[in-house]
Amino acid sequence: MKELKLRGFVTPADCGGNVAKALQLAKALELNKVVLTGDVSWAEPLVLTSGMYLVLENCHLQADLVTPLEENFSFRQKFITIEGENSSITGNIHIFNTHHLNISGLKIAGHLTCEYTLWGNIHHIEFTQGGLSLGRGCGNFIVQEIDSAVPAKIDGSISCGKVIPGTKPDLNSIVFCDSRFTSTEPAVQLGAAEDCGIINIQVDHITAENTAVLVGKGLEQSPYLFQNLTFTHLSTPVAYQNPVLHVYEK
Amino acid sequence: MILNVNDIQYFGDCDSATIQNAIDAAVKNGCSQITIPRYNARTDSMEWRISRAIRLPSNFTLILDNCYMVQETGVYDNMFTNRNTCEGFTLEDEQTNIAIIGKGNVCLDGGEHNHLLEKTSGRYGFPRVWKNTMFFWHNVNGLRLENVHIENQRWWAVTHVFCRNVTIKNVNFDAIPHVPNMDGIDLRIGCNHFDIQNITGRTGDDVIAMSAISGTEYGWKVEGKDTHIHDVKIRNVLGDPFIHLVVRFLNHDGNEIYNVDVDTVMDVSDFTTKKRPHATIDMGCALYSKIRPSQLGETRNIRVRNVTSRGETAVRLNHQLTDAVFTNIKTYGDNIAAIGTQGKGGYMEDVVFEDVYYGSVQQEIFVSTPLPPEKYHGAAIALTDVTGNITVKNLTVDKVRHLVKANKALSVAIENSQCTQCLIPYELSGGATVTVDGEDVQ
Repeated sequence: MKELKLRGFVTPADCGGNVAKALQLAKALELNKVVLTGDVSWAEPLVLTSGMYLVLENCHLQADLVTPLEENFSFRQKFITIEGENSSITGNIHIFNTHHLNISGLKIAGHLTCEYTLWGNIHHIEFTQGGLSLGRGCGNFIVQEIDSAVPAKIDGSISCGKVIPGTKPDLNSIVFCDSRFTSTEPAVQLGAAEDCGIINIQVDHITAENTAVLVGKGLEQSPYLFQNLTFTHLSTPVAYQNPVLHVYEK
Repeated sequence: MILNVNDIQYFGDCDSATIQNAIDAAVKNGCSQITIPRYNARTDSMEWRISRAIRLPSNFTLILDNCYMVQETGVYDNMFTNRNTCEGFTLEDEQTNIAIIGKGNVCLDGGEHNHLLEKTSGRYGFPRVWKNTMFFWHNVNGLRLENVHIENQRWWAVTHVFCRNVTIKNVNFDAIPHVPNMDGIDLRIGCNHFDIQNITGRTGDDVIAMSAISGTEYGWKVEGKDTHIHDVKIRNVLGDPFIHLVVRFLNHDGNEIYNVDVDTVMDVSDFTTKKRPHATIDMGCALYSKIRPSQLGETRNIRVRNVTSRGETAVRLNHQLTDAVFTNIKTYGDNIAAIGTQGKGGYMEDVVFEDVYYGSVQQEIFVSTPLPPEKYHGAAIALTDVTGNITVKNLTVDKVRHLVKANKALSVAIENSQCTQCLIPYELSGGATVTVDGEDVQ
């Protein structure tokens, strides 16, 4: 164990090829760092907990990554980083009830979904399928340098059904910038829910094929659900299907 | 050659000594980088306790690999500083190319506070408060700080004096404001060519403060360097400054601030609480001058775009300002003003606002009961004791007591305004004038 500590990380090879055990061992040793290389696949979802630093180096990972679905402040995860270098993930990533999330440097064929997550930094990600979805309760995000063949969603109706009692579900204070979309669908899609507003969202420096941003879904909704939106430096227009309390578009 | 800080030959009497020994050995062996890992072999623990500043040489990169570093209890020193800090006062002494790069979940913790405050600085046996800034950079050309989480800083977190060509990126703060002045990033005199990007989190005081004023740092002047702050780019700041300011401009005593570009600042303080920041962007201040107050023209060529505020004021204009453009300024929550002031006097010239939105919820605090219109508060533009001229293009106001409130010889030119539910549009005195689309009002 001392050798592992000195090395600073755990690999599945340290656990007989068992990726889930590698995560558990990294946690048990308080190293909280797992490095994956080569082709790695795991049938069960890999559970990421507080402090986990998952590094993919020249790796193709086929697995789902999840945080525990605990509907309680006490079980909130903090500080989760997934970082790739020349690496890809085929699978879905679901982040729930987490503060301080960093994901970068990956090609992802799958959904990256966040709910009740604050302080997120997602950058340098290429999506070939699935795409980025920021759902209920997400805020204080910077999303930057995304190359995507599929749309991204910032949507109050995205929910796994679990809630955090006492937490407002609004999506608030999100900057989505410096990104490129090759889908013919609207690139960034903003959607509210009756109890979940879309507030203080900025989308800037986006290159898209057709519509850069789609606001709303045409449902009967209060204009107060979409407030304070900023759209700047977009290659293509914004389409509005719902009223917005205040929008700045240049 | 790769040096391992956990190699027993570098072990010192404390973690600081161990790291410093490894750095010194690296330099001696022509190695320009070391990594601080998570595991600390000397103490067989997962933390590095810093009891004295780690002093970094030129052309050196320190990688922080998923590590936790905490300042030792009861000590008075920085966590990181450059080798010549406060010892080299010429361009020849200037250090170059120092980087601290975080990987993974790097946490730098101020730990338990040591009671060294601005009010105890240099008194009662305490050293100067500068010992309490976590990062202290002086006279450096080429500095990088990336991917770190900083919490519970003892005073200002990252401080620069006479530094240039600095990149700060992906830095997150989490400070519980139990002591004063827990700023995030401070630029003091002599700082220029800064690129600051993706700064997030909660600080106990200003998130980013550009303060070119006289103080202790006047004793650390660098021969051949000017004392101004200029050519600064700031982008993507999502900050909660407790009750203070998200981005601050302050200069006096002949020091100038110019060529500053700020793009996207969101005040992310919790709008369900009564506590709110004084301002999101704060321009100047009548206080803090020791030699002479700044004069018109000494804060100039300022461009600020995309500001979202739930503070008392979105943009606060104080003291003096010229040649400044603020674009897309919007409020939410329960603001006092979109464009306001401290009320200690000021002169504005060629100050232009484009696309300003004031939208207050006008609710009783803590409850969602809407206020009746006769109880509406706030003003889109509230510039008490300010003179000069400002132009506001595309002003949108919803639910407000005053559209413009001014009491001195201030000319406000509004072009294209939309106002709904305004109780008293103009409250003007002392020679203040307002034109709307070229027509005088009142």
